Amino acid sequence: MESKVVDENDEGPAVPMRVDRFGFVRQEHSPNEGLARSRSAFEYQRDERRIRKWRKMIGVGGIDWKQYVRRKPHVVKRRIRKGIPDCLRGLVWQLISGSRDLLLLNPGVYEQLVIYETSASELDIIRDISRTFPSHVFFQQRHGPGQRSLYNILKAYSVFDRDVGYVQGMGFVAGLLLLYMSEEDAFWLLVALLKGAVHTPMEGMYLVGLPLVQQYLFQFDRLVKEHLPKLGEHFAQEMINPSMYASQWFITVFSYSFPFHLALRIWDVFLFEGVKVVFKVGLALLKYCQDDLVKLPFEKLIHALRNFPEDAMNPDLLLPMAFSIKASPLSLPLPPPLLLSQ
Amino acid sequence: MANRMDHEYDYLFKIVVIGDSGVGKSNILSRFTRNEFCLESKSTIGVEFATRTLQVEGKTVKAQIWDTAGQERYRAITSAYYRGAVGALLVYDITKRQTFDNVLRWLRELRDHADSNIVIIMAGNKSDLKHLRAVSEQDGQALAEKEGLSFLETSALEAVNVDKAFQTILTDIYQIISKKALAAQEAATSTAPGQGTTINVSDTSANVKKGCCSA
Repeated sequence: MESKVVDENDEGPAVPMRVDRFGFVRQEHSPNEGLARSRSAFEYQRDERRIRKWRKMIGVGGIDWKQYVRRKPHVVKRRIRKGIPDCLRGLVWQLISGSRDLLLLNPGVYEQLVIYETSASELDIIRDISRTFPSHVFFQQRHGPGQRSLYNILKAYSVFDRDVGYVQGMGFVAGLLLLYMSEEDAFWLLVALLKGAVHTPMEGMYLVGLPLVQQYLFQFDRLVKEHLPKLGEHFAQEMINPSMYASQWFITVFSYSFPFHLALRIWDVFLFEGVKVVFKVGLALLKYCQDDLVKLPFEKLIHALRNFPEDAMNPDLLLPMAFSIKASPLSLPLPPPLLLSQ
Repeated sequence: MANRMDHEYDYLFKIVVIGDSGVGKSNILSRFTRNEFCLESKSTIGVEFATRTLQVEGKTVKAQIWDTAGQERYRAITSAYYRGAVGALLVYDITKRQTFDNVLRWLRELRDHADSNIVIIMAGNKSDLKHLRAVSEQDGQALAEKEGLSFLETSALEAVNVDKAFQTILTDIYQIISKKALAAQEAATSTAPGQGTTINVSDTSANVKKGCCSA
């Protein structure tokens, strides 16, 4: 038994916990990635150089950003693919997602939603609050600031868009954002994503029938067959379909169960380039593990597709592989209406 | 739990675990398949999968279990997993009346999407939380009798009746199948994922010992 015993009334741990550099409580056998380790002088200097470049690119408070993107879009794209410096991540995410503009256009709206409105989803949201990033220190304390902010954002969104309301999975997206920005900023980024301020609106992933999830899974299946025909055939033989392993990749954009340092790197690119990166990362993962996967029977396959090996989770290896895949889900046919109406 | 070596099995039964969100479906599954309980578990997104092999009336039976997200909107994805299932474990939370009242909706859902002769057992979970009880055992029993379901109260936390619940449903399924030998043959094979192919299972996927709360 490895489960932790926690006193229900415990208002937080008395002894300092061992956490990784992102604030997740370390597992006994957790791998070394993501740990605060001492950096070499070379790494330190490289990081400092990168941060200086980024600061120059953004300008004070983001003032130079739009112009820089217009003038040198390829430089921006390349730098984002290498990873946004963690200390600037929150700001840059707001700039590239278009959420900063939404925030400025809607003063006071968030406060209104949080304080004065009530939502039919309140109980559903409360039920899931302690089940969202339960191993992160910010969200662990019952009724602590992390859980309160998470509740506020989700409730506000469920009022802001009553058709979407609250759907499980949104909490992981909101939670990830909250680790990098204020509650109100995170709310508008959620709005920007679901309403499609810059890219395809994500709201179809959460609407009744989850139509966009079904579409993406259908398209992903096609892409597997096209790009990894051997594996695609093996999946077909073993009756494996993407809903068995990839629903959460799309619904939470890899934030549900992937190592956090990898999720962040994917989010950097996702916010700038859109959902196609989710397809590409998914394909890259399968491609990387293909030789092992094609040998596995059904049950072991399911397990392997939920527990990728540590070396596959290295962003500096996985992401270049993903970018090299020329896959355009948008050019793929949509699933037949029958499938969507199921 | 040591590595379990499943060289073969006589029967393979596909089971779905359904019920409202937060009633403890995932912990029932982890208790049954890995003997683990996780207080800090995440809500299930989509579906999860696990297996366990056990003896039922002298036969080796492998249970292939699909654990489903409970939120209503997820039925768009999860209801596809009812197809081919020969058993369903329908879970409610004895401390939340609403989850019990929704049992009828879940039964309707099964009638619409599952095989008509699917075997259903209802489980009132969290029986350890006696001081918070909102559904009496009699109410559970009465509903089960009215709807023709097996019934047990379970505690995934204290490992009470979880094995028994699965043992009960697997035995029920086995008995139905062995009674109707011919029709049963069809039912059993149609539950195998790789229909027509032999699935060689040398060990279960669940034998990698791993924390249940991995971030």
